[in-house]
Amino acid sequence: MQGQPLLSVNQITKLYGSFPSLSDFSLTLTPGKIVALLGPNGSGKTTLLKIIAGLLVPSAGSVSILGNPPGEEARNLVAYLPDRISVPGWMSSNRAIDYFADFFRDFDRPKAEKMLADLGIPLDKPLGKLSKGMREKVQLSLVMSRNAKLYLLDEPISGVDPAAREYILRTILTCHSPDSTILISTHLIADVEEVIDEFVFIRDGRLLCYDSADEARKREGKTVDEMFREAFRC
Amino acid sequence: MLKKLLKYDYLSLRRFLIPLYSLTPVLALLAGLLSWIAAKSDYFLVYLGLQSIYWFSVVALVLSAALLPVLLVVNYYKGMYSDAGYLTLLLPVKRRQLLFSKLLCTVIFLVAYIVVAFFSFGFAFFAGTAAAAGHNPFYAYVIVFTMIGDFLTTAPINAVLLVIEGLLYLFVLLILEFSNYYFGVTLGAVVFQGKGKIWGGILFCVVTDVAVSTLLSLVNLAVSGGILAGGADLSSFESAATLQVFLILGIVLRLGVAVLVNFFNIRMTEKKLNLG
Repeated sequence: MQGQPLLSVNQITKLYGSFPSLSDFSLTLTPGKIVALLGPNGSGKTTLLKIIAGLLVPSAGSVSILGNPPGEEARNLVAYLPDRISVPGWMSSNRAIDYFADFFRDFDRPKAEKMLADLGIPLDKPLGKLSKGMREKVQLSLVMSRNAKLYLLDEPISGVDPAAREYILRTILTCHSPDSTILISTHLIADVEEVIDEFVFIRDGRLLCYDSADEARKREGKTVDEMFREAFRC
Repeated sequence: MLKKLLKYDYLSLRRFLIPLYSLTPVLALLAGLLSWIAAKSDYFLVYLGLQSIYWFSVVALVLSAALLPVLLVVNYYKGMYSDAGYLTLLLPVKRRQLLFSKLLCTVIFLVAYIVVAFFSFGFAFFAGTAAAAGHNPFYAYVIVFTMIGDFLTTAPINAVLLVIEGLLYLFVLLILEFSNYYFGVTLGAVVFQGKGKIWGGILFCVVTDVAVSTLLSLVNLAVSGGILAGGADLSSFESAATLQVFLILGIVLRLGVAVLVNFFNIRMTEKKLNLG
């Protein structure tokens, strides 16, 4: 866990009414890592990702991405894949590529076009006329075609078929560079087990554990999936 | 960046406004021609049938015009605070650019609609009356353009000033009106986070617009009351000039209020919004 912090989450609390979705949560991530954000439903994973992306304002605490608070400059550094389809249905894949290329200076158009071709997505059909799975693939391709410093992926593989899942995980690995970090929230731990460098366990909005995957496996003699099942057994 | 934002806001609005704009003159042409034929018909049943279709077309025409602000407000809500907001609000642009682009695009489309509506409604409503009086179906426009022509000939400077003032006033009114609506939508999204955001937005649209309009009406009333209480003779040149000054001040005031409303809207999207 050495090097210049890419992401600093400092004592974040998020209240929905009087219910705390996150409580005094702190986390520091360095560049060049793939980090799994793991926790049961309602543990605060999506809330945390939204706060880092700047879609939610924390009730207390602060976030900084390479020293920038969530805002215009930070949005240039962060690529966020939400847990829903955000690209409007009236846009075709081609138009969506234009959109990303117009606004994000780190967007790699040839990479996006290649990914969409590999996934067999028609480029000129409005996204509203594609299946949900296809739209998710388009969205993921667009987000992963950015050369961002921090990728926030909220359940990127939950809605796609196993074949596409493999392609997506390969893509995540390909996109990963020494100066960028990927924070990936998922329930499908077994699928990401092989690609992650670190993992974060989160329960009831609190940090339960943040560890190196290799070190934890050696130390505990278990996979991350097994450790998760043990930690969150009902 | 503003140019790019305008491009996508234009594309987003174009897909449903162009059909609406095309429908308006078609309905107007249908209504106008039906009333024109009905006015010339001697047969009661034909007259009755044509009149019925005429009224159907007129109602459709009015509904399509009434639908426009609703469509604009819903489009704004969807672009900012529904799922598409997860993309829009994460663009590396300033929030003020985001809102300004949406507002400007809305006003441009509204001005375009006013032009379409002017030619459409005039024909739909007055073609029958013109026919009954023995004129051509476009007679209402002939009267309007003759009046404008006369005014331009007799007092060209006044006419040009009046046109500029009128257009400016219209532009500022539209900006203020939709600033209120969009502020209301944001307020709704902030207060009703998650559930019922769209209905909350529409409710706050109405509340904001009524509040701002009432406030401005009170200011208007106080100012015009003051002028009349001062014993102004409205037929004199001096009073007319004073009224002109107040008209311009009214435009400036409305523009100022619109800027203020947008300022609050920007602050709210920056500091208070929780896209849940």
